[in-house]
Amino acid sequence: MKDTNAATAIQRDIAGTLGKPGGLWYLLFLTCLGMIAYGGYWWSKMLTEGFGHTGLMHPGMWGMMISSFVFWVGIAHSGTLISAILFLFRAKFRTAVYRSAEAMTVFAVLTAGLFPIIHLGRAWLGFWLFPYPNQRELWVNFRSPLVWDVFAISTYLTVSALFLYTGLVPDIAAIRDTLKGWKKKVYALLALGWRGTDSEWRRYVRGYLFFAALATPLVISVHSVVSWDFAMSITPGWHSTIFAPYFVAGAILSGVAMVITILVPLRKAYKLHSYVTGRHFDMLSRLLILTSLIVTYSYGVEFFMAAYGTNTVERDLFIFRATGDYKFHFWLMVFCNCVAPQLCFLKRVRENIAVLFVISLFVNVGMFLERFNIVATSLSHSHDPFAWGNYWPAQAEIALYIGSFGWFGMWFLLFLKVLPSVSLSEMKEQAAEEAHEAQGEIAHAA
Amino acid sequence: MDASGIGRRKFIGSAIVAGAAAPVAGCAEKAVKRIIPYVVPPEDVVPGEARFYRTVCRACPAGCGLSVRTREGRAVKVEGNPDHPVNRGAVCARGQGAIFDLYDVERLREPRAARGRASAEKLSWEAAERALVEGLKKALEGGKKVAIASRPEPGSLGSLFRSWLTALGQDASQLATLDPLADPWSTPALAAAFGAPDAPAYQLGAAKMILSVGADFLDGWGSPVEMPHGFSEMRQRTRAEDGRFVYLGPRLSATASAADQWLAPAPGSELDVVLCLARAALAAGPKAELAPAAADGLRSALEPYTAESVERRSGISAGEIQKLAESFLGASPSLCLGPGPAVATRNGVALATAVHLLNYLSGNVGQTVLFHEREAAPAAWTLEELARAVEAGEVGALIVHHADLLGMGPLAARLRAAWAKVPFVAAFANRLDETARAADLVLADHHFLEAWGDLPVRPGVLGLQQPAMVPLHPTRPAADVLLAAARKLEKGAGLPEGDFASFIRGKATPSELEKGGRFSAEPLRTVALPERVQEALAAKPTPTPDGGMLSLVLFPTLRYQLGPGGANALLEEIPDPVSTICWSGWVELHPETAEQLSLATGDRATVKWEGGTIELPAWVYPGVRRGMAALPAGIVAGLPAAGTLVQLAKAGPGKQLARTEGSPRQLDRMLAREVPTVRSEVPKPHVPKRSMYPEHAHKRRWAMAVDLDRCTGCSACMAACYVENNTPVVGPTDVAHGREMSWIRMDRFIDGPDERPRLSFLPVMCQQCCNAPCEGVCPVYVTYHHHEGLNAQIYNRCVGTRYCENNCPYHARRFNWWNYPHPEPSHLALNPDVTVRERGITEKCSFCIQRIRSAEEHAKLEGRPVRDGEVVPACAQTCPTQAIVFGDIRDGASGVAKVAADPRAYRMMEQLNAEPGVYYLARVRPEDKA
Repeated sequence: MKDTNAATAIQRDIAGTLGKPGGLWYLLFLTCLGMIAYGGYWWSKMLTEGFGHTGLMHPGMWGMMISSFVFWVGIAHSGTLISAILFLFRAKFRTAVYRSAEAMTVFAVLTAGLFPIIHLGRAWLGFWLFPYPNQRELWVNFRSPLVWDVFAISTYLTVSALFLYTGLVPDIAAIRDTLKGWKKKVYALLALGWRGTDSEWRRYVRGYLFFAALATPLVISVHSVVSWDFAMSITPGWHSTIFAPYFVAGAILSGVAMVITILVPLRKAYKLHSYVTGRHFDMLSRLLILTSLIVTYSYGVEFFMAAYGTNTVERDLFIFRATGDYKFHFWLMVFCNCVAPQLCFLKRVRENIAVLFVISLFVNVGMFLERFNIVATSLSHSHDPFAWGNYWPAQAEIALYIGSFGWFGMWFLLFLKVLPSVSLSEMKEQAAEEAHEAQGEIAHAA
Repeated sequence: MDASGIGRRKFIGSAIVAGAAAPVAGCAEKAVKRIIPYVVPPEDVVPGEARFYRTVCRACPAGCGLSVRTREGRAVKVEGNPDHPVNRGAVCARGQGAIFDLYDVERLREPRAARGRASAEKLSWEAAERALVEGLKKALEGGKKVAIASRPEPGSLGSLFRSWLTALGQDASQLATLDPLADPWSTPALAAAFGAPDAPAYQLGAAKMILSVGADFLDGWGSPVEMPHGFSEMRQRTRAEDGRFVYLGPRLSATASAADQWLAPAPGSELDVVLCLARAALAAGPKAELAPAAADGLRSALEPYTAESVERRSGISAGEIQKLAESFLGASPSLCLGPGPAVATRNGVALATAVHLLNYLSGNVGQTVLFHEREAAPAAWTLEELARAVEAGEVGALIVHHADLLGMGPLAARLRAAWAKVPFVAAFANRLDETARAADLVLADHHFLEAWGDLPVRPGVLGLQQPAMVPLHPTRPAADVLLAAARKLEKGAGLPEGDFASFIRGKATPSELEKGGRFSAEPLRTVALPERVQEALAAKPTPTPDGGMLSLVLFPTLRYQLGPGGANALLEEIPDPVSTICWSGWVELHPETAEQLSLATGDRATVKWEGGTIELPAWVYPGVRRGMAALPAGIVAGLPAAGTLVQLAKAGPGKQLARTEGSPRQLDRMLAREVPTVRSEVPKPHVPKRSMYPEHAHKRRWAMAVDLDRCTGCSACMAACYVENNTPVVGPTDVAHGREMSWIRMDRFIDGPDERPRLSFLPVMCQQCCNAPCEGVCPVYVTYHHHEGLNAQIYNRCVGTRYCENNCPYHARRFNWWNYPHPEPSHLALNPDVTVRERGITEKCSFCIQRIRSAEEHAKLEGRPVRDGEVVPACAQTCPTQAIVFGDIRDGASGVAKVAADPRAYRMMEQLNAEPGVYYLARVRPEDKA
């Protein structure tokens, strides 16, 4: 009867997170709403009065909003990485965390997707970026990487949302069965009539596998497309073939860091120590080292190409990056992304959750700076020296960035209270398997 | 129905509600505006067709001819009158700014009563005219003088002023002129050198060698269009023969940068250099008549000025001076110009006399320096005499006519102190300047584009001024107000009957009005040196700066020349070509001097001199001599004379300076290129023609060619572009933020070591590329390739991703950060042929597509192809040096195709394979043989 007990305990622990929100939850939720209001206020000013409120200028036509966009897309990838890729590799430790990672993906894409729209000079015409039949016979330019971007992001949002939802169906059904009244109706609607029959499970497992297989290449394709937003241009510092793998590695690095940043407090808040163990953090930090090394290599290659090539415009730009007006940002980025994660080579660091948490924060900052460096320094130091100029964000962009965290946090907090943040079914399955194995061992020993 | 109570129907129903709720879109309703057609259409006005009226420009006293483009009865753009001998079709930035003055929000719309009141009180014309008559009557009854202070009015208005004074029983000479271009040395020097003929006209185009003694004739010294035009002619003619232009002065101005050689002698030693040249000319045998006695006197006076002795004083090597003397005397005719305010310090008169002497001895008088036969100017008060009469309390009524007596000029302080002694001041003005604010009565005059008049520039050149439009406001012309007052005083005898307009119309034939003036052969006279000319050459010692004092250098700018600085938004916004600063004055310092004072660009510096102090942002510039502080005279008001010793101190860090410069260095990127001779070929990179896309099938390929050897950086093209294309003026805060909207950016590079800086100008507009980097990245086809070779832009399709600007290597695109307001009546200045852009979209140079369309439509109506030269973009039209050529490059016979085939032709950043449609001709900079 052990496995039934375990299953009940899991059901109780996890469904318990869905109960009536506590004071802390409300505090966090209100903070998030406040952050959204702050960002929203500045966006409304930009919408009604103009982009003059931003720090953007000639030649820095893109700035922190685009950095924020790439930042959030990068964060989204971590979710997919943990849920889909590790699923395909049958990595067991993912079970406890993959649900929050998937949710993070969806909410991060949802947040990222806002920025290209906010960033439009005439955001109210943003739908023109979609190829839809219209009587004016207008069409989008498929040569433009921005159109690819529209497809990449919307595909990613669709797939990651469906992936999350598919995984949720059995859990929603499990929760449905514990509820009464109108809540039951809502969950019943969402559970799509799941009854847990063998045939349903068979199809579910197959379908989940397909989604995982579909989502995995998206990590690469979406961030490659995002990188092409830059690489397809002829702007020095952007025009580079290494951008796609470089961005993908960067996305995974920032994603892993964000997973650690989120999991540490989550684990503490919901006392999930038995589900998210030290081993999980150990694995994540190894991934951190790998991607940090790839990113470091990419930085090196960029500088090497600039030094080795004959393009003086490119060379001047990289000298400027390391020694010019943005040098503080550059070297801070190098420290955060290249140096700090190397500490994870030490086993003691990998086992120390607090240190790991700090390192993950460093990487988060570093990856944001990386995007800022790519966007701002490249534009500020382009082909015609007379047209050089430095971009610095104004309050509006900072407010939007803060607002984006509020937006992301709001969805995440809602998610925590509405849907199981740890997979019920997989945890039960794992518990059952472990029980089975334990029994087998006992039998064997006997 | 399963356990949950949700069935198929309910599920579908919920899904539909959710789906329907999603696309709720808010569509703000826009205000409905109605277009009212003419009920009775005016005759010969075709809606949508431009009409041109010829008149003269009064923005400065140069007297250029204008052809004013009007649409539906209002002036929208000024262009040059190609028949006018002064400007030959071109207009400077200041002239282009006239439209901004005309529709200025702050322009006076009605008469006001001002003095002693906190705010100028509005009056009706009846009340104002009564007040004027009262004021005059009181002065006349009190036996006091009535005087007029006016801007230069050499034409009928000036004569009318005199007859008006006579009719009032006054002396006709009680008319003083405040000439912003006047300086204290020219008239005495002319008197000393040639016995006081009027100022000569310079024929730069005829010269084979020009020596400018601090005369920034490309920065607004003298006639701002005629001078550069003549210089360009000289350059075109003499480039192949190694024509030389040497600039002598302490500051690398735009003029100095156009020179083949810039010599910066020690302050005050310019006189020695010029006299050394005069000595050489005398030794070589004067090329003009010289009485033996005069020759002997001169010889002994010039004896000390050997090249070696001048080397000691000026710091210029004797060899350099000898080389200069050889090339100046070897070229015939040559031309020495000057002195400009930068060098005319204590010895202004001596230096000016020396320049005349050098020109005379080199045989230039009569060839490049022309004196006209003209009637003796009637006697008139000088400003000094006016000030004295005011101080003595003799003036009972002062009529001011567009002369800011208190705001500018050498006597402003004196007049301000004695102002209360004039019981009645009436000022004709277009805006409340300092003098108008201190007047009892401000009479709102017509803008010159609404008024009649005439302007003789020199004998044989009479410009006629006719209104281009009905007056915008209930203003009245000054002449009519004065005539009416005289009649009311019953002193109208001897004055013209009727109004001033009919008076002018009576003097001019319709064909002359159509032509814009009366132009005939210019009668010349000869002059000779007086015997004792050497007496005027004696130099006073120049104080040498010490104890941290700096010598003050004043220079003109194309924005306001030497002043007065106005409040013209367009001219404020267009950056100074050299410093690229706009919306404020500045003080220029050599990097070493700045370092000693611990000043950096943008810091606030206090400039202190005996009797005054001023705070300005500093600009560190290697193109100014050490130990000097250079200030733009037209922009910064109330400055002491050039050469004054001033003290500079850091007042603190300043706010971000509104300037357009990113980096001053080209970094060997070969953007503004140079070649040693006019025949040298520009090396071009080998770019394999590669594209993923098929080549464009062009019907035409519009292209532009800019000759950098002709471009002087004067920025008239920018001004014309602003007016033609409704480009918004954004103000200093946005410019400081890099958000100026100009479609032409005047790149200015300072290359070379700080010891020998080289300045180059490069006007950058949209390059209309064939493989345009902007086109590929636009997600919604806002910018696309047009079958006439243009890189077209559909404003209302733009969503504002701004990727196009990021990907434009020329950074030629602009983004509308705000909705830029056009408050009434400035909205009337908008060109109806060009869309006013909304906030949130990108824009750029269109090669004036509205002009292309108009020419094509006219050609179609006449059943012929568009002729070469028929399409002239606004920038090319106004260029004083005709540096810009436009046309269809596929037509091999077109002007632009010929220019593009020049060995000096290149395209910017050709290695990027963008195939731009703008060609540049490399500047010719003879290699220094030194």
